Amino acid sequence: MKHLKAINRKAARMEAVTGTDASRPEGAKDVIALQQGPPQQPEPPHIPNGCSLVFSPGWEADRNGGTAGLCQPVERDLFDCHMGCFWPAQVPDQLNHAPDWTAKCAAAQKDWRKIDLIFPDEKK
Amino acid sequence: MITATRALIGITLLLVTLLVNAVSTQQAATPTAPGAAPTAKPEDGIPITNQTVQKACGSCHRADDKGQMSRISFQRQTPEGWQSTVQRMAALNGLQIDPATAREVVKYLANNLGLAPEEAKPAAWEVERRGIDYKYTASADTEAVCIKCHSMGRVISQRRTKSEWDLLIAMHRGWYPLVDNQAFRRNGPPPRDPASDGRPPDLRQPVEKAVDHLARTFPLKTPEWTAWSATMRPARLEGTWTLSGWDLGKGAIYGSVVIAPVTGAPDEFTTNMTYRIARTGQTVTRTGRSVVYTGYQWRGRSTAGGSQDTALREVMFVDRDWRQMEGRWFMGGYDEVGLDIRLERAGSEPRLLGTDRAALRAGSTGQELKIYGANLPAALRPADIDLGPGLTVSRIASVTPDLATVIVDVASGAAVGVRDLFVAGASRPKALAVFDRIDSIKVKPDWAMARVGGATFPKMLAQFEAWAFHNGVDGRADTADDINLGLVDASWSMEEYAATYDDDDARFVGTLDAATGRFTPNVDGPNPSRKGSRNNIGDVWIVAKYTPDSAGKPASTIRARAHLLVTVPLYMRFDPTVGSAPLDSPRSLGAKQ
Repeated sequence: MKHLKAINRKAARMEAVTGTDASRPEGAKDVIALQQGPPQQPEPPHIPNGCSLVFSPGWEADRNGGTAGLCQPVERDLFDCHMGCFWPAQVPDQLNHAPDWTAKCAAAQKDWRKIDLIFPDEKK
Repeated sequence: MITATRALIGITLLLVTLLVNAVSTQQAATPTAPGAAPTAKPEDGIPITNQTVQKACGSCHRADDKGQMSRISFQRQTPEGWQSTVQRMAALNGLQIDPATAREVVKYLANNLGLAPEEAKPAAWEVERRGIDYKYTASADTEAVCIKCHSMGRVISQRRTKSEWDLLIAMHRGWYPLVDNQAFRRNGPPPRDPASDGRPPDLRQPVEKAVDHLARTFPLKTPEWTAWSATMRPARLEGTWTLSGWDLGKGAIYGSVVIAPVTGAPDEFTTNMTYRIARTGQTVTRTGRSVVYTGYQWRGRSTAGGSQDTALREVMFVDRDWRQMEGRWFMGGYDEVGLDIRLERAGSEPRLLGTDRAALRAGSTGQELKIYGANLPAALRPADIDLGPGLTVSRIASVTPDLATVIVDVASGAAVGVRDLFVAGASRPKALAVFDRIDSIKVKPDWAMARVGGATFPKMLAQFEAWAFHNGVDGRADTADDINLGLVDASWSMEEYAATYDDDDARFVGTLDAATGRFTPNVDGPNPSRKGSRNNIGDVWIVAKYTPDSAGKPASTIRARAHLLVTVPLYMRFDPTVGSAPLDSPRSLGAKQ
């Protein structure tokens, strides 16, 4: 980067993020997208314990192991996941496990606080 | 828009799948038309002899003339696995069962259709609720099929006959109609090229390969289970045990546990434990109760002073000689707060557990060192303590049976390296290091996950530690000869992880305690002050800064960092509580925190 000079605001932000100084010695090591050759950083972990990034977008993490690509806000998608049984291990499905899950929640934007956690034995 | 499109795609795929399944079922049904004799001999299961299980489960699960009940007799599981099954029966299949009966059913099944220690140990992390990065290498197809939705630990902690594995797949298809498209069947065209050994391409669907692998690798009948069930008996664990462990964020803990039997229940115990956090000396006392399943699977719950806020679930594996047990004690909305624990029988001989510090600086004198142990002699003399070359005990400040406080001088020329510790005939290998400088620090864990919560859903916390290291004789960091100098008190801060510009994740995701390294995520729900009303999720660097004390000379601050992913809650969870936890009350995770 030392031969390039930032001439617009986005480039200046990139410089700020990738610059190396005494307080932030990692600097340019953080930029992994354009690096050639072997990976400069350890491979991101494969998300453990039932966490899933394999549907698209993932639940906990996107395919790069971060959160930038997730469906956001998550409440926007909850009804669809619930009714479509799309995230069977993350969201209660309307078909079998929790037909009444959203009964108290007419509008997700307003009522999302009323959605309760579901346990397998809660329907008793 | 994405929502609507996904719904449309989902419905379309569902219809296509149903059509394809209907066609393939018809095709598959043709060779075994009604009247054709079954070609395979029915597989032998494990008879159920317990009347409570027969009564509770028998109205649906009919027993055959050998006492084998349908489905149940053809699988083996951990206590957690059986509890999940009972809970699913109650939730989805109309089972009416009271908690006491459910506990008896789970105990009988875990004891008589359970796992041998050798079978359960590889999946210990599943029941110990550890967030490890597990890779199942024996079959990539099987891993890909299963971990699309849930942990592989749930799979490898079961044993089933081939037809039971088939029925398990059928159960998934019944309850989760999208699972064929999401996980079971391949995306895209079938392979056309022959395999590397020249055989024709394997046209089986991933789920078919997975079932073949599972039936072969995790069958109902195994030599391990046959051997274990022949020798299995209630473990006699009463007595005094030493406790050593690690409380993430606080460091080593040392103490003792007194285990007492419960009258009339040979596999149940009460516990009284006292331990100290080694670095601070803070004393913790807890009392608990436990059940030991299958002769070795300790499942308990303990509290400090009876307060449920302090309740820890205990999952430990008892060694088959009944002299050691180890595992994890945990709590938290996602079981993320926990301690690694190891218990050993205390006996009557002196025992060493560890020291309050992991390292002493060469040339330092008058250092107070706390040595934790058991049965330490009251008449301990400096000559009884051997800390190795270069270290001299000048005086013993105090001694109790479990703690000796000694004053140590370290020679200025003492060799840098790790020392074994000997006290009054007891030993502790690699107990203490001598160093001349701190070269680097590392943040552990180097990657962690937290979940927003607190409004409706629990928060998932994250705890970090800073460890100091000496580069070792090669003078280079991150090599095998680095010397671990133990925990240091770093100052903690968050920095932006540059995945996207301008998302300001560090401002929204939560707070990091500057002194303790504990991250507490922000509240769940949409945040109107973020672009697109994003949740308070994001990626940040957790940064530890530390200025080593370099014996009066000016030293520069060193730093290290870890990646923290702060993400969305789970809206549904299947992780049953086993042991003294009541089956009738779902854990109050939904409560506001």
